[in-house]
Amino acid sequence: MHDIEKQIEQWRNGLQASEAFGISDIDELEGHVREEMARLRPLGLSATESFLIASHRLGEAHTLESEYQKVNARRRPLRHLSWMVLGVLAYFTGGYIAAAIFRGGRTLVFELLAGSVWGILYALIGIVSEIAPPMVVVLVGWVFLRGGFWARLGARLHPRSQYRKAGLLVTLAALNFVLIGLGLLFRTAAAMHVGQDGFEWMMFACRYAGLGCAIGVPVLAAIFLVLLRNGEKHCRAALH
Amino acid sequence: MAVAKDLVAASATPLILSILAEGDSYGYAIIQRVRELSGGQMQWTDGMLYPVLHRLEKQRLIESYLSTAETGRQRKYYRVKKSGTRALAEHRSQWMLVHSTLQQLWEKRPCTT
Repeated sequence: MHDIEKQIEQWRNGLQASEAFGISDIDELEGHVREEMARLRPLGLSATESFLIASHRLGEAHTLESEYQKVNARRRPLRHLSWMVLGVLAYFTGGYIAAAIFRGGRTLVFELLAGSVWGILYALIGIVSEIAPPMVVVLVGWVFLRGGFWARLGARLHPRSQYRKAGLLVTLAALNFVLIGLGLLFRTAAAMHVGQDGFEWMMFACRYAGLGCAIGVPVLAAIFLVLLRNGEKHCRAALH
Repeated sequence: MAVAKDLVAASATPLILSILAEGDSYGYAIIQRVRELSGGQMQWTDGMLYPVLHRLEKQRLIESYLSTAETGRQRKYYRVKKSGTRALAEHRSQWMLVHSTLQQLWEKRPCTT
């Protein structure tokens, strides 16, 4: 029983590797295969046999793909664009929030050290007021996506390709968050522990490190995406 | 006697619309219904029905909704829209015309086979 679920999952992944099929298309085809299997099983076929016959009856993979491609043709570029926009938004929103938190955090630490209650309060208000606007945008986006975003976030280690891409975006946003935080902490530490000359040198290094990250992170992302794509192609070739 | 592929393809839209005009249905049941009505002689490659359904949905002749099947899985049902009913009437008159034309010819000279 477990084996057959694995086989169905593999078959699904094979279809998902093609951009011709949307998730709802695959769900519908899976429903069909399962019903055909339920019809074939009482005839004395094993689960695997009935699955093979049912999936075979759907037709040749490439014929099916080209038919779906015709119907879904208009949707594809839109899907690519939405991923790109989502990626860019995630990257910058993550970066902005991280910068606001760490900047506010730094002020907060200074005020805590100084022991000023009003100062601490102002620092907290500063953090909230900086973070609130993008959070509202994220919240509106979440309502718009009707919870789908969080579902994908939770399933980022899921083998399905769409979730893997979402996972990649989340990882990149988190990486950006960490990098900006580290940069600010480093600068703060530098400001506290080295002299004026040393501090200027550190700032200079930070600027180039930041530039390196700005180029390096997207390059890393591109490499990841290529690897992901190759993996999918390989998976598809094995299934076809 | 298997029906020629071209004829199967041409009749897909009126068949789907006619079946949905009887009541809401889903992919697998539509295929089964065609098989049953044609005595198993009209064979679709199962997967090919779905792109046709999606095309009809895009043309706003039918619409879909999700509903839980008796198996507990979500199933995509299709329902014919008003424009679909009108399109079906159009298809019907065209097919009847083809049918009556052929019939007149064949009645004059009956096929001996």
